[in-house]
Amino acid sequence: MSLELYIDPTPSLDPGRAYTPLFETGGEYARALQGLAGHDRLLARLPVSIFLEIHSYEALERMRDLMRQEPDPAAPWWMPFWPASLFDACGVVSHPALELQGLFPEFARTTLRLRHAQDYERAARDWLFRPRLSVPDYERSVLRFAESLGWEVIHP
Amino acid sequence: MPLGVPLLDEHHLAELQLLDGIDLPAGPRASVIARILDERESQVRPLVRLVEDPASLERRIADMATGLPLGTTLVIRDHEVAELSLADMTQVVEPGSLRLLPISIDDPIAALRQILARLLREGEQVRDLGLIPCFPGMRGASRDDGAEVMTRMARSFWGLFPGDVQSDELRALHHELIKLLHPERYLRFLAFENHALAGFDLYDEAMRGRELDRPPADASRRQRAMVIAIDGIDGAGKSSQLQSLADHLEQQGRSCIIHKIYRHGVFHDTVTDVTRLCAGPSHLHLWRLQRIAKVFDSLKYFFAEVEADLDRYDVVLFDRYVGTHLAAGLGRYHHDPFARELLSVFPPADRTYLLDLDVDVALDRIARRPARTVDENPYMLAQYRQALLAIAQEEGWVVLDSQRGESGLREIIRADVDDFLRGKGA
Repeated sequence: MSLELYIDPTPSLDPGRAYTPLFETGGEYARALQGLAGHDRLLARLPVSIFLEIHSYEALERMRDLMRQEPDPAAPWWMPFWPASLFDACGVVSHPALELQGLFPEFARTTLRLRHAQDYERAARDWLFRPRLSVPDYERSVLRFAESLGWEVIHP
Repeated sequence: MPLGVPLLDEHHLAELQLLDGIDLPAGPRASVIARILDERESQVRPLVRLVEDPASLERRIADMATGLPLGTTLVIRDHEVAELSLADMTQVVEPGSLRLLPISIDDPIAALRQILARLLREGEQVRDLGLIPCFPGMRGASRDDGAEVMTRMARSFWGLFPGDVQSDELRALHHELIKLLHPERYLRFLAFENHALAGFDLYDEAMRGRELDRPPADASRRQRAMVIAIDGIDGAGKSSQLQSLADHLEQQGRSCIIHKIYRHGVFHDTVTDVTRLCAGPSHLHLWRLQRIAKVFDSLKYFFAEVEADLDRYDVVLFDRYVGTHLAAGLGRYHHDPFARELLSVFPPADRTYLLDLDVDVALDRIARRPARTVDENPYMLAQYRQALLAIAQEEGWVVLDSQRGESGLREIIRADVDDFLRGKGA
């Protein structure tokens, strides 16, 4: 089975592109995030690393889930962020993203779509909990992964 | 059973000073920490806040430390870092200064052996200086340089060794050094280190005030359903009691549903793979993740399946509840990795029954099942049992001996629920 990964904070900006979402609007992950959204006092007690870890783990679990469902080879799997770079972008040194990444299935091809800063910020609002995300740090980190892992990079 | 210990002491306050260039974590206690720092500033001495960012400060210290003779100390004061020999240090009386003892990481084991021998020779005068050993460069260079970050431990554990990179021998020598220089905080250091190695940043948590009170509850929720939970270690007989109670309540004309907040399927398989990764001597920082993943799955389940049922049914029954997550954290880590906070959206149970069971009996019952989990061993089951009993006492659960037999338990639980409902006028 030949799997393809598509990393793009806002794939809706390219309406013609087909993809299988690892993070679904209306899915359990999104609903849990929405459910927590009104609990400001609660969220203030949680470090950002918690949500980055949850997000990273969710990516892995969804990949496992899709693997059990005969993936459509014509629709690459979409995720908004590369997990390890999210930690870099939030200044979190201690994180499990590399180990989780090691549990990802092997992708025959990975495409990284870079976007403008506001697109990353929008994606962070949609799929994470208001992290103080440094877009330059994210891009610096994810481009290093792209280079070392041989991804195709599409610039804005 | 403590859920965490306030760990701010003189050293940590000094370290906070060092970290002043970064933001304190956002949260209700940040202002408290700032006030503590300000009070110290006025009472003890004029604190000098280092305004540069910690990464550049570390680089500067690392640059200075390179090539220094072993035993040279660095004194941080008034926006500057000064080099002093150990002997000079005894002449300097600066209670406010931060006194670092940099140790080379080129051959840290040899360096630690030498410095330990020297400190023993120098006597108490030097050992009482309050030197803070540090290992400049241990974490690796800045990621801006493209270098691999060596440590997987949080910034606040500066000076502790990442378990995946450094040897037990090095860690043991470091323990000796801490015991020599700071005997009063040796146990605390070990506690920090153990938690740090398992991915817990107690320092950060202390600053967020986690230990001071319970997480804010969702006061806005008004639900129709009464919530009843049955908890207990594997093999205690929860499922059969729940079904029996549901039948009883339905015979009274009450609508019921049973929920299991610990799910199986792809979630369970995935988190089990993560658990396998951290079950050995390395990747210890993944322990926190596997617990948080389990907690978050229950949270996903709550919003997907439970929340609506709280208004749809008269009684919602739970096969395990929030307490199980708390017990899992306490049982394995002696610490709660944010289950209290994340699961505070679950409404408090009106009645919780703990089916307490002797571990040997539980293992005997479990042995008849086709599959065993990694936690189904005498040690972990005993840990969970103790944690559940401690929580039961704190939360006022009804504790029942699971060996009373199925029918005996059934009658007790039914009678207690009926009494409770009568008391409620329901």
